[in-house]
Amino acid sequence: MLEKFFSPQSVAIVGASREQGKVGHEIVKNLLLGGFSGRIYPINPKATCILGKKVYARIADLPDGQVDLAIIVIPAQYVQGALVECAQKGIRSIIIISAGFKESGKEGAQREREVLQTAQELGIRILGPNCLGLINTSTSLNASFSSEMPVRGNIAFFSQSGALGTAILDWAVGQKIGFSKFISMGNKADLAESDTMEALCQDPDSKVILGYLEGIERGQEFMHKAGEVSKVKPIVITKSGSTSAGTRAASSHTGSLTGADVAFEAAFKQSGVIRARTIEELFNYALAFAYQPLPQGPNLAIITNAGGPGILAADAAEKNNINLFFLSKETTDKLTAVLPHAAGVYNPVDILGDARADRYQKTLEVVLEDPRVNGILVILTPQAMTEIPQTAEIIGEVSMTTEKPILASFMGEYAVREGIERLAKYKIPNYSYPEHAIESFHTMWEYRRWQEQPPLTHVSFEADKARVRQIINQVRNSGHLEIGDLKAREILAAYQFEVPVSRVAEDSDMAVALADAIGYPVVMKIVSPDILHKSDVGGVRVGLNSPDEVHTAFLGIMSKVQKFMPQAIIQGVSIQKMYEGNREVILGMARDPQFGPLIMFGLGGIYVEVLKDVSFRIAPISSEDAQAMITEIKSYPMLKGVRGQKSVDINAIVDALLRLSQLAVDFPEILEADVNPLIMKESGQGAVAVDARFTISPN
Amino acid sequence: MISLYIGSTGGYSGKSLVSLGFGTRFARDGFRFSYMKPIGKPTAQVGESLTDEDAIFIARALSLSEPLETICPIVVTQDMVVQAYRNKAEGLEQKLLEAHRKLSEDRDIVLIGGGSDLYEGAFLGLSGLYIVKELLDTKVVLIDRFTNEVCVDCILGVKESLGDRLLGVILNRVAPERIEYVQRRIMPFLSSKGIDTFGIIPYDQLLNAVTVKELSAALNAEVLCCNERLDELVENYTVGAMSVDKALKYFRQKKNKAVITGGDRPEIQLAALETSTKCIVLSGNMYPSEIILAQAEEHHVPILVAKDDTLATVEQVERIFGRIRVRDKRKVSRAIELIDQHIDFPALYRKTGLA
Repeated sequence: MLEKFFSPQSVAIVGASREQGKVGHEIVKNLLLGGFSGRIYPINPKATCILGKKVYARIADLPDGQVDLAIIVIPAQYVQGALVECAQKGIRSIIIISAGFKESGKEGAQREREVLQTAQELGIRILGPNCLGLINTSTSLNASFSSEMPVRGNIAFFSQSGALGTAILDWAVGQKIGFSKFISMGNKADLAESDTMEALCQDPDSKVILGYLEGIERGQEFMHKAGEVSKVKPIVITKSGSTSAGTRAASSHTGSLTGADVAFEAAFKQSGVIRARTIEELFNYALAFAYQPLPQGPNLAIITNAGGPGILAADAAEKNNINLFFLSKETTDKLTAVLPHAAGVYNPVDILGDARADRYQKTLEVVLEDPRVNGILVILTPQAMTEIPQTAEIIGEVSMTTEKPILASFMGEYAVREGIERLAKYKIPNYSYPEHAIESFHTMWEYRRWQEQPPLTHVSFEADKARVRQIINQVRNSGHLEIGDLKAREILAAYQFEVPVSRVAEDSDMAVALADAIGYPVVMKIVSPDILHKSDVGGVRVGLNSPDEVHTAFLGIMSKVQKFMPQAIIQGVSIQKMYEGNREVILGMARDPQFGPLIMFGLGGIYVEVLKDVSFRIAPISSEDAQAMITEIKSYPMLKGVRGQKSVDINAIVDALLRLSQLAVDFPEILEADVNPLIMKESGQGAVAVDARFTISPN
Repeated sequence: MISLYIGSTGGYSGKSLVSLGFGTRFARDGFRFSYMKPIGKPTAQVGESLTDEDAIFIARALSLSEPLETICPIVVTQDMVVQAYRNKAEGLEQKLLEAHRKLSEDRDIVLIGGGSDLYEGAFLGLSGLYIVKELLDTKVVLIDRFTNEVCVDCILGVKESLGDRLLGVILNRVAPERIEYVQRRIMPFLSSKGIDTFGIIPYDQLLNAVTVKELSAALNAEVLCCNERLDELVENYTVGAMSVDKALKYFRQKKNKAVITGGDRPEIQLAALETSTKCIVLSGNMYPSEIILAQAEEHHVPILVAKDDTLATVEQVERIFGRIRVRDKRKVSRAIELIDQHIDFPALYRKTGLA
């Protein structure tokens, strides 16, 4: 897939130019300077020769079936015609550099749709438009207008922002960081991140895939592809627009609605994509993955020539759930033997400020021998006796002898520069601060766990879909989009949620009669199509234990509602069995514009509303996802029971989440769902969905 | 010949709807009928003279040929108001009687469109009650925008004043959830007081809609795109001032809506486009970015730029939705269809002696 983009034998440049500084000129120049060994066909009706290459006047003059890749740099309005001509010459892989499409307004958007349609009819794949092009270092192909060609390496990088791409390429050249591929995605009219990831997965030169995204095309497909690819090689993505201000900026920049950041978080989590919060983090992780093997466990040993940085590293490790475990007795004995008396032989191993290269070497060798050590962070601060380049060489050489990852933190800038360069030669990633090294190790370990995670369990429940369909149709026919109260509970019941028996009373006598039949205690709620927030208008009473209380409550509810909402249409008051659970949870679903049904879970009341202690996953969710959603929230111990309280029925929550997920997948017309509250009973006794609300699409 | 007065318990309760529906049905059932609006408001100008917009509209919709000054003999202009306060408004009764006489010739039914309530026109000496009981000797069908007991009070009040002249009531704009209750509780009660219910007309989204064009005109807004969609009907509106995920949640709860938001909220504008939206109103005279316009075009949703700030814009839109008139062709045919479906015409004919 995409071979002709990455490894073409011949490239045509539609819109090549003689004029220096024009994009059409720069691309030809970059192809030549990059060392591309295939044939180059510049096309320009007015020129005969560009940079020593013979120029073709028209696409029609190209030899039939001889050109693998076309790069189009002509004004937007001519692009569609060029596609047709390219197709006639058998060219099916095209990079459209030209701008003037979706990003430029409504005419451009229309033009982009037309170009895409033409491409699809002709079987052409398009990268762009409005992109920088691509670079493949292994075939020395610089099909971009970035003059910087990074050195060969095993990091692949795709970016939705071309400008960010140029900045990063420039930085990479300066840092001597090697890339395998660089792909500027542009407007993603055709090829999107899913296609790119799939192609890079098959690319033997790429060890880690990096991405910068502002939004995602075809969210569910992205999750599916990323899920497959991430089992083979790590995918690290920075997704911008994670705050309201960022979303606003992204909206006017890309013209697409990105949805909630929690949806990205969930989607990435479920598909094994590592999320980097910043570009700096993106490359911190990239270097770790590109340079070092994955750890086989979370046990990290730290070797340092300074106490302070050792402590900082220890703090960072604990925060990242990295185990600064105790070295074995054998190891500490050996360390005692080789290190000065004042050295610290426990983890972090402090080899003192006067440590020269040989002391680092002995310590490294001893620590690596400890079978429980899964990885090592070597910290170096430049002190009077420190042999910086030599130590770097030693670390490099030792790293050649082990399968365990070694990361370095040579702290400082000027004095350690040569050491860092030597580390790079041995592919030891260096971090200016130990915290970043720890975060990178943690990410490697998390990724390792993802790779080893067994296939997920997907369960399917029996459900009365016909009944749900019927309710949805009824509500739609009545002109409403919201489903509450009785009908909402009926939908839940069709998916085998336990719901309370509930009947509507028109007057207080009937209320008492119904309460007698249902059994005390009962809950009473106003029933009115006009009142959505019942408790706000005094429309809810709970824990009513006798006919007298029910009678008084009925009159009380009616008087409150008439006072607050005199215009509301009242159908009566519902009488419901009261369930005495001591803990309540909330389940929800909101359809995300990019990923689809986003399932939410949280502990009821203030935990959701004030503390925002909630977890999210994209449906369909697996049993493991449901389980993780429950244990992920901070208030999870409260569900398990504190101070002698018994645990609630956790399995019942798992079931409820899975049923809600199934409902969301079965009925795409349900746009939002709230099951609030789900009253929990003790282990093995289930849960009752007391109230729910749905929003459906109009058609 | 009988004169049938369409009275109501309040403004905007659906008199035009009933007049249109009745007229259409009378014609189909082979009755010769005419329509008159005894007292009109100077809401339209035809040639030199001011006349009542509703009356013209109904006359045209029912293809009636009588001159407008016969259909609406009295138009309450400012001059007439002043004259009335000086007790100098004279000859009005005569004018009315004369028009009624002309409209009665060779007719089975004269359909008379009343005022907002039965007291309207009293300052001219021509209250609905007076016209019905003394002047034109008519029967009455009362239309009520039914909500609760207050409405029942009004209906019973009218019954007290009119006695047997009140043939029955039509309950309009009843929420679908409420119909069963009205049938079970309200109708038998009214019946026990000697009041027939000729029909319950359910609340109708279409009839309560305004076109994008009407909205745009009322806001004096500039239309930026999708001019071909200005005839689309807007059923309600919402304001987008929250975070984008909340906006999606709220926007999903309303269909065929107008979304009012700031020109500087591209994410809210996109969320609106994602849901059932008929137009986006940008307040504060702020224009959207090109890229948003392109998206709006793709979704076929007009963008209107209003000069006022959000609060003022919302107030205006609110006003428009509170006073909706049947004008649009689609609304007329829906009105006729609703009346035809939900009114018990055989019962009405029996009561009027036409059957």
